[in-house]
Amino acid sequence: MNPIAPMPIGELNSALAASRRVRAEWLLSMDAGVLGVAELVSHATTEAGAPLRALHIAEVLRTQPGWGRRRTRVAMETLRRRLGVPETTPNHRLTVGWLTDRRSSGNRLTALCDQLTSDPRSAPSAGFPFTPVVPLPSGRLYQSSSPADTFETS
Amino acid sequence: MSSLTSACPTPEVDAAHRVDPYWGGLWASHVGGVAVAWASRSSLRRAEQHGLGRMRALERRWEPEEAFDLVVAKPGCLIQLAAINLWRTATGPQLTAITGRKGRNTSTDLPLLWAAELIQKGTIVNGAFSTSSLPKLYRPDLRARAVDLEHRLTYPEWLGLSAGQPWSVGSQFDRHNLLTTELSIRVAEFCPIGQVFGESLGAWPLLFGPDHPLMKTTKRAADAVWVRPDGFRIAIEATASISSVMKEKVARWVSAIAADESKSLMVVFVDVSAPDKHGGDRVGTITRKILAEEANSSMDMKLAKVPERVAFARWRDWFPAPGMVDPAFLGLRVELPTGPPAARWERADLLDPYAIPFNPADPIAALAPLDNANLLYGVPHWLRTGPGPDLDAVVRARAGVPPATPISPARRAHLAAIRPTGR
Repeated sequence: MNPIAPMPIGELNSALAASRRVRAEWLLSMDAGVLGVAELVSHATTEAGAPLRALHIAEVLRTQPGWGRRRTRVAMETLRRRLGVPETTPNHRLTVGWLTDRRSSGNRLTALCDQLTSDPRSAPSAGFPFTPVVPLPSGRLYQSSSPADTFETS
Repeated sequence: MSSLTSACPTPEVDAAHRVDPYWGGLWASHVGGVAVAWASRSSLRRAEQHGLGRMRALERRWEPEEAFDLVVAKPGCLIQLAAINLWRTATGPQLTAITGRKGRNTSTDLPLLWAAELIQKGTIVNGAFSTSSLPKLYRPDLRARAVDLEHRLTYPEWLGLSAGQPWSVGSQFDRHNLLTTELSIRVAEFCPIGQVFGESLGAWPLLFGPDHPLMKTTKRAADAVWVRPDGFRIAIEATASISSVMKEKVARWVSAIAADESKSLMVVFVDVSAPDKHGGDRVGTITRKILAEEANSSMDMKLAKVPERVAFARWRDWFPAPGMVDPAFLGLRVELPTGPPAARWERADLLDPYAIPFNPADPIAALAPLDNANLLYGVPHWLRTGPGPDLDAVVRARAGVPPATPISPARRAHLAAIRPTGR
C-alpha cells in the first residue's frame, strides 16, 4: 500500500511553488549576506527547512561574494575531487540534502566549508608551523548568534 | 659516510650516493657568479619560436594548461613542488631523498611541474664534463599561477604544498641554496633531529613572532631552520662569502635574538665557502670576528645570553673530505663566543640539551612545529611520523560550523546496510 496519501494536483502545485519560494528567499538572503551557509545547512535539517535540501551546492557557492561561474566551477571540481565523487554523478545531484546525509560523517560538509573558506587561504594559526593549531571560528560565514549544532553530526 | 646508518629509506639517493655539492667539484667553473643555466618552459618555447633550438619530446609532451590539470590531480606532483618551494633549490636526487618520490627518469612528476610552468630546471655549467652526467637542478618559477593553483587545491593540499606561506621564490643563489638543502638533508639523515625546514619557513616573523619589535617591516629569513626533539629551534645562516653588509646582517640577528624573551631560538652561521676559494679561511675568520664582537658588544647582550645563542660552524669541520663525516657532526658541534676575550670561542653540541638548555614556558606548545610538520609535504618524509593536527576542524571552524562528531561503528554498519555510503 502506498504510504503517501494522494493529494489533489492543485495542492501539490501550491506546495511546489511554496518550496521554490523558500529556496529563492534563502538564496537571495545569502546573496545579500543576511544569512550564511551555516544557517542554511542547519535549517535544511529541520522539517520546515525540507525544501532547502533540493538546493544545488553550486547555487549555494554562487552566493559567495565575488564568486562567478568560473570560480564556482573550479570549487565544484575541487569538492568532487576531495570527496571522490564519481564522474557519472552530475553536479545537480549534489544538493544540500546530499551534503547533510549523515552517512558521510560530515565529510561532505567539511569539503564545502573547505571551498567556502578558500578566498584567500591562510595558515591555520599565526606563526604556523611554529605555533599550535587551534581551530577558532572566524565568524566570516557564520551569521547567526545561535550555534549551528543541530545538523548531521551523529 | 657510507658506513653511517642513514635514516633516508631510499638508499640509492642517501647522502653517500648523492653528488657532494661541496667537495664534488660541481662549481669548478664558478666564475662571475654564473654556474647554472636555468630554463622555464616559456623561455624555451620562445627560443624555439625564434629558431634557436628545439625542445625535446618530453618537454613538448604537454601544453601548460593540460600539465596544470594533471599536476592538480597527481599527489606526487604536489609533494615534489612542495619540496622545491620549501628548499628553494634542489637537485633531482635531493628531491627524491626528501620526498621518497622517483626522479625524472622514472616519473613524470618533475616534467609535469615544469610543463605547467610552476618550476624552472637548471643545468650546471661545468666546462670539464658533459652536462648529462651532472644532476639537474630545480627551483620555483616566480611567474607560476599560484592563485589558480590555490583555488584548485583542498585546504590540506594547499597547506601541505605552501606550508601556509604565500608563493615566493626566495633568494636564488644556486650554490648557497643547494648546500643549505644538502646540509639539512644530512642532518635529517644522520642526526637525532626533530625536523628540518627550508628557507620559506625561515622568515623572521615566523621565527620571532609578529609582535617582536624588529619584525614590523623585515623581509629577513634564515636559510634553514632545524628543530630539536624538545622544540628548540636552530636557525641556519649559510655564509659562502663576506659581503659589505655582513656586519649589519650579524648585528640584526644579534639584536633580534637579544629581544627574544622566549629564548627558544639560536642562530648558527655555517661557513660554506668554496674549498678552493682564494684567501683560504678568510670567510670563517671574518665571520667569527664579527660574531664575537656583536654578541659581546654590550652588557645587555650578555644579560640576554646572546653569546650562548649565536654560534659558528664550518662545513669542512663537519665533512672534512669527500664522503667523510666527522663525529662532531652527529651532535652538531659548533663554537660559541662565550669564553673570555683571550679564548673567546668554546665548543658545544647543538643537540645536547645540557650544553644548550631549553626551558619553554609551555613545553607542549614548544613541540608544535614537530606536530605541524606532519602536514607539510616538503620536509624529509621519514621525519613525518604522525597525522598532524586536525585540519577538518580548522576549515569547519572558519566556516562557522561545529566539528563533526565521529559516527559510531555500529551506527555506520546500520546505515551502510540501508545503502552504500558516500565519503
